[in-house]
Amino acid sequence: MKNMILLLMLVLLGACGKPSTDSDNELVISTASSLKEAMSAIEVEFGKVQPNTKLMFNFGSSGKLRSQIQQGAPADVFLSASVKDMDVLADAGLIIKETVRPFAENRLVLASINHEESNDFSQLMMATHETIAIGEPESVPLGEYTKQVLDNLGLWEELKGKMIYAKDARQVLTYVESGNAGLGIVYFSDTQVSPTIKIINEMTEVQHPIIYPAGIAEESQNREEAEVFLAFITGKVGQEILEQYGFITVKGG
Amino acid sequence: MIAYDLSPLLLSLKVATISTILVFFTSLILARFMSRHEFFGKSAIDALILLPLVLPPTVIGFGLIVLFGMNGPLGKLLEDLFGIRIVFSWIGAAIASFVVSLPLMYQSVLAAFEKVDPRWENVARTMGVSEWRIFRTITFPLAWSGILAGLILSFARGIGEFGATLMIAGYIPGVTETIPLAIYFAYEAGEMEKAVFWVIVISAVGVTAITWVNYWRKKNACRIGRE
Repeated sequence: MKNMILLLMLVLLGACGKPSTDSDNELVISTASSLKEAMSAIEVEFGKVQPNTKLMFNFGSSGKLRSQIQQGAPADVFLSASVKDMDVLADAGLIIKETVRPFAENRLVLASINHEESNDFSQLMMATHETIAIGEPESVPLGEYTKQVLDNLGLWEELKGKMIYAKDARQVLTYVESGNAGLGIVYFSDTQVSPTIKIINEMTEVQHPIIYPAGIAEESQNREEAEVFLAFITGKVGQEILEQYGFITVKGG
Repeated sequence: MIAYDLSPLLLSLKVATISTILVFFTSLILARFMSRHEFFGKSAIDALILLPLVLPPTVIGFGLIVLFGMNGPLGKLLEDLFGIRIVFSWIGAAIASFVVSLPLMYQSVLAAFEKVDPRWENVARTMGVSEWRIFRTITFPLAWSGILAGLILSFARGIGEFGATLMIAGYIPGVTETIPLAIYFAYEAGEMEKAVFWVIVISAVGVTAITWVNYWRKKNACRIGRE
């Protein structure tokens, strides 16, 4: 019996130490949660042209991903929903400045599962007794953009206490989809992946365009593959997929 | 020291106090009933009450959302009948605290009742005293120190509830922002000083609770030793 256990342990040890095949490279990509479905599609297409590079996505709010990278979490590529979070990392030397480029744009919409289209969305939000889901304004870019719009409209202070903060853009969508929040401010791209959600109105009051930048981490051991990946998402196929998922494409790359 | 909005402290105290009061009466009734009756399926009910002790908070939160969500059976009922919304409200936070602290209180009360020597109750019975009066004047006072320890533990557990609370009550600053949620979101936003502030506050509450419980245990042990 003792020998059996010893043998088992040896086998297990052997399994642990076994190196993965050399030709496979893993690319860890810290990705804004709003890109989830688009990235699944891109992963499939990218796999066709680069079968030896395995993509590992780590989804979250850009603010959270930013602090993870600041605290030394392994990431080769950062796909952010905000220029601000990318700039912080680039300025700190954690992302290689020269590799940073925009790859998509987005816009904000007010959405719901039971409201009809309406032009007077300010009135709608003021009058409603339902909860309004938004992104947490400090760490979630969607929330930051939302706060900007509501500030411009003079609604931010008025709506306090009615707004539930979500930990990332995807959670805002979940809150609205489940009906637990009657209204929600989400990305246009989010509404494209949800069959039940309806757009009430576009919110055009954002001061700056919502730009998604991509960049390669200074610590990355797979710089070459990362470059190939960035070229892919800013290239024809990548941009087509992003457009299909409701993002606005960027010119030039 | 930087001045913070103290609403998370007030809300946490409100949520934990209400949940502890409810937990107190519920466990008294449950423990009294369970300690005096034998019936089929008793151990199953016992297990159900204790289940939140071993389940991850996410499972409790998930269960509460399914039950009390806008499309959940209880959520719909309460909204239609009374216009009360549980999900994304402080009531949701109180319910989460109630569910996680009930097993602690239930166990404490059960143990406290078992420690009461039945001879005292029987003596009273021979004198024709009503069961309710026996409970009020003999059982409850004798079990009190154990019950009090349970109360303090339940309060501390309730005030510290995070996982299930985040799922059912969500994060509405000033409305459902309890201390644990304030810590989590302060950390997420990189506001370390604010997070540390609330960590110190909630730790102080926890340390006070444990000190109290130990004090009562010791006092209790001394009394039993004398008898």
